[in-house]
Amino acid sequence: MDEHTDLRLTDEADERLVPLMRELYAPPADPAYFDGLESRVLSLIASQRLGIVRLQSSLWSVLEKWAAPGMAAAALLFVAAGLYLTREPEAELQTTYEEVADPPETEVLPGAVYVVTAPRDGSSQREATFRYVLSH
Amino acid sequence: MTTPENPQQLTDAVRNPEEKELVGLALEGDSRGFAGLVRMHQRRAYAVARAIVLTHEDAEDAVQEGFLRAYQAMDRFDPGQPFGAWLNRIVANAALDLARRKKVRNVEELSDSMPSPFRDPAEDAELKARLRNALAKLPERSRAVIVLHDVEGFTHAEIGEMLGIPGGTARSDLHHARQKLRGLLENLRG
Repeated sequence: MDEHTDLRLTDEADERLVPLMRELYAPPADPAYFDGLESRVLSLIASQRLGIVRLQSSLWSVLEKWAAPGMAAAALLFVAAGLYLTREPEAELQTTYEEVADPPETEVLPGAVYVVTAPRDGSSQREATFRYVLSH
Repeated sequence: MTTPENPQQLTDAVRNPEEKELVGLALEGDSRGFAGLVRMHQRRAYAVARAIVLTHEDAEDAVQEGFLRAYQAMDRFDPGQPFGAWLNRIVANAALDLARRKKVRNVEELSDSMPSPFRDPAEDAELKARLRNALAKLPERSRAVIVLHDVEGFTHAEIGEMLGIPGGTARSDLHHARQKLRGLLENLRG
């Protein structure tokens, strides 16, 4: 049995491989490494927290910058809406008055239906047409 | 601070009243609480991440990302649950995300350039290199179940919880992963 055959695993963990895997996956032995990792993790969290605070403060500063023009625009909009709402009933009243005071100029209403009646001598429309064609 | 070496010790560790106190402080927004939790769990978190990704550097990135995610999700943590198990699940997810992002990397190139600052210049260096190559060729979940079980001593249930799969699936994954590793090691003979 050569060295490579020894690498074969059975269903259970291979007794020779496990120590090798432990070496491959061993965490750094130097305790200073984990002190450093701890510092890096906490710095990352602190910077993230600082980033959120900065984002919030920058949002507030943007809102502050837009507060004065926003208030002015809102006031203008309020005045415009007020004028529109007070003038609208007057215009509506005028239109109603004109509709009642001025009758329509034509007797024929738009969309009226013209009814074509059949000839009075008892013949059908087809026979009347035929006679008309022959006579001309 | 010593790190638990097996699941029983780990279970004992999560019942540690010091952890509960730190969790309480962290939930109140006291930064000393989360700092203490980082100190307490970082070795185990590193081991979990290292089992999934291929390099020491990636493991460190996954640990940092995992702790950051845990910090951001702290308000959703149930203080009645063990913090370590919750954290390990988050770290495992961060490591899996990282491993998927880096999947495009060439395994052969990786195995040549893989930094191994902790490698012993032992007589079985060649054997270790072959094993490292074979493990690098495994899918990340297969590699994770083997390393988490055989090296770190986690149970199937704990591995399942970390990887978001049932314990029974973790058991069968372990079986198939060992078979696959065996096949890869045989292929490496030539």
